[in-house]
Amino acid sequence: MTELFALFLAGLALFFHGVGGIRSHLNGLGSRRLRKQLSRWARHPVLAGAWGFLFGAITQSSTAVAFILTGLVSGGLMTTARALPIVAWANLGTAVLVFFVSFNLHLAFLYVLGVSGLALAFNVGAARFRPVIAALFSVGLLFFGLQMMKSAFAPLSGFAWFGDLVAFIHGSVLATFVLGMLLRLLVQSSSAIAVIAIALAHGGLFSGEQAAMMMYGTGVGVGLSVFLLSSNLRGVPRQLALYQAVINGASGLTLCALFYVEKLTGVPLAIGLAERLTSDDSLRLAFAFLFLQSTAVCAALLFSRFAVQWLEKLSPPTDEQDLSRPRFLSDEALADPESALDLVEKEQLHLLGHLNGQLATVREETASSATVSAEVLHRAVAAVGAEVEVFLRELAGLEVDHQTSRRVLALERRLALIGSLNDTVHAFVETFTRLRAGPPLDGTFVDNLAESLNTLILSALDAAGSGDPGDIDLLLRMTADRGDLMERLRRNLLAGPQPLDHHQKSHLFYLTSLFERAVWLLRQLGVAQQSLDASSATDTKS
Amino acid sequence: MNITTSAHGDWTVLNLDGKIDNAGSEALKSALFPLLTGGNVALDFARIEYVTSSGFRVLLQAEKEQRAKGGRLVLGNMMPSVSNFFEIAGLHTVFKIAPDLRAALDA
Repeated sequence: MTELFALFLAGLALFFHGVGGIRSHLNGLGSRRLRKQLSRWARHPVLAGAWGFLFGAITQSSTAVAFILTGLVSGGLMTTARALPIVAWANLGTAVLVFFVSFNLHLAFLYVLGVSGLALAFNVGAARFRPVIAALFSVGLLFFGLQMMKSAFAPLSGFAWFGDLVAFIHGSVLATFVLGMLLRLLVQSSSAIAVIAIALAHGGLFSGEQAAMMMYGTGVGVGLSVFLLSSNLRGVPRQLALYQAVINGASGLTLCALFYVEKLTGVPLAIGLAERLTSDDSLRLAFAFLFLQSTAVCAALLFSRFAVQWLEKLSPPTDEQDLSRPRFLSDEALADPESALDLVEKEQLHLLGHLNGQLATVREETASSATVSAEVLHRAVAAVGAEVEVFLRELAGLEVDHQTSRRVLALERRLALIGSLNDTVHAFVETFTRLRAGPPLDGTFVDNLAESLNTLILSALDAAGSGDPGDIDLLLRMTADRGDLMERLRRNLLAGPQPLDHHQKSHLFYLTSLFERAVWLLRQLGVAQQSLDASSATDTKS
Repeated sequence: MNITTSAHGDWTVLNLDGKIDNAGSEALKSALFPLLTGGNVALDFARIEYVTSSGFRVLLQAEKEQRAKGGRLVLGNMMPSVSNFFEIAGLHTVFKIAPDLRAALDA
C-alpha cells in the first residue's frame, strides 16, 4: 500500500511539472501565428466543441484537456472564451471509451515523452522548434503522471479493504455516490471508475442504481480533483480549471438529485431513460455515464453566456497576466499598415511607461505606494515587446510602400532600444535594492541616480509621445556624454568620509555603469525618434 | 517646502526652502507658474537640500513655458550636492544656473 501511495505521489509531482512545463514553454514560443491558427480552429463554438470531443476521446481525460488548454491560455496562445467549449465537450468525449474500450494511448504518450525527452537531451532539432519539443515533453510528463496516479489505484477491487468497504456500504446509494467522488480524487479517470462500477454491478456487489450513483459521484469528484490540482495556478489559467470543476460538480449533483426525484415520484428520468434504451445492464450503466458527461456539457451551455464574466470575477488576471498582453495591438489592425504602426507607437510608449514603474518600486517617494513589482513589470515589458516584434515582422512582410517600410524599421530600432532599456533599468533596480539591503550607506548619491534616471525616462516619454523637435532636442541635451562626470563622482565616493566595503564599492560601480548605459540608450532613443519623425514627415509630404 | 517672493531689480525672486519632492513640487508649481508671463524669474536654491524627479519635471515645464513666452528663468545659489544632482540628470545644459544668484541678476 505504501508503494502505491508513493507511486501516486510521484505521479502527482510529474503531473504538476507537466502542467507548469507546458505553460512556460509555450510562453517562450510567443508565436502570434500559432495563436492565430489555434484561434481559427476554435473560432466557432461548434468547431471548438468538435475539437473538445475529439481531444476528450483521444486523451481519455477531460482533466488533461483542461490543463493542456490552461497551458495554452497562460502562454497567451488562446483566450479563455475560446477554450471553454473545448473543455466542456472534452467531458463528453471521454464517454466514448466506456462504450468502445479501444486503443492503448498510454503507449503513444510514452513515445511522446521518450522521443521529445531524448530530442531535448541531445539538442536534436532546430532552435526555433525547441519550445515546441519542450512543451511536448511536458504533455508527455502530464500524461505519465496521470497514468501513474491511475495505475497506483487500478487494482483497487483486488484489495481486501476495498472488499470490506463495498460490503460496508452495501445497499446505500448515497454511500456509493460518496465512494465514486472519493475514488475520482485518487483514480484520475472517470471512465476507469465507470468501468469499475460496471464490473462491481456485474459481479453482484452493487445494484445497478448503486453503480449509477457511483458514476454520478465521479462528477463531483472531478470538480474537487480539478479544484485541488489547480491550486497552484493563479489568475486566467485557473479560470479554465474552475469552469471544469463547476460544470462537472453541477452535473454530478444534478444527476444525484434527479435520481432521488425519480425514486420519490416514480417519474422516469435518467435511470428510466436508460432502461428504455436498453435491457443490457452493462450498457445501461454506460448510458448513465454518458448522461453524466452530457449533463456537464448542458451545464456548460447554460453557463456559457456569463461564464467568462463570472470566471474573471472569481479568478481575476494577475498583474503580470494583465500587463503581459498588448494593450493596443490587434490582428485586425494589420489590414491598415499605417494605423497598425500608430498602434505600435502607442504600445511602445506604454512600455516606456513601465520603465518608470520599475523605478517607482525603489524611489523614496513612490516605493511604498508601488503596487506592481519591478520583476513583474520587467517580464511584462519583455512579453509585450516580443508580441510587438512579431507584429512588426508581419507588417514588414506585407506589401507596403517605401515610407511605411522606413517607419517599420525605425519602430523596430526603437523597440530594440526599449528592450535593452528594460534590461538595464531592471538591473539598476536590482543593484539599487542590493545596496539598500546591505550595510547602511549615505543614500543621497544612489537616490540622485534613481531620480535622475526617472527624470530622463520621463523626458524620453515626452519626446516619443509628442514628437516635438523641442522635446527631442531637450532629451539629446540631457543625455549628452557624462563619462567624465561619472568617473569624478565615483572617485569622490571612494575617497569620501564614509568607509565602504568591497560589495558596496562593487555595487556602486555597477550602478553608475548601468546609469551611464541607460543614459546612452535614452540618447539613442532620441536619435531614433528623430528618424521616426523624419519618415513620418516624408509620409505627410508624399 | 516654504516659498517666499522678493524683487531684485526687474527680477522676481522665489526663495525656496526645504525639499522639492512630490508635495514641494506642487507648492513650487502653484507659486511659480503664475509668474511665467514672459518676465524675468529667478529661483534661489540656497536652502534646498534635495530635488526629486517630480521637482525636475516642474522646473522643466517652467523652463519650456518661459522660453516660449520670451522670458528668462535663472536658478542659483545651489549647494554642491544639489548642483551635482543637476549635472547627473543632465539638467545643467538645460537651465541657466548661477553660482551666485544676486551677482548674476545684477550683471
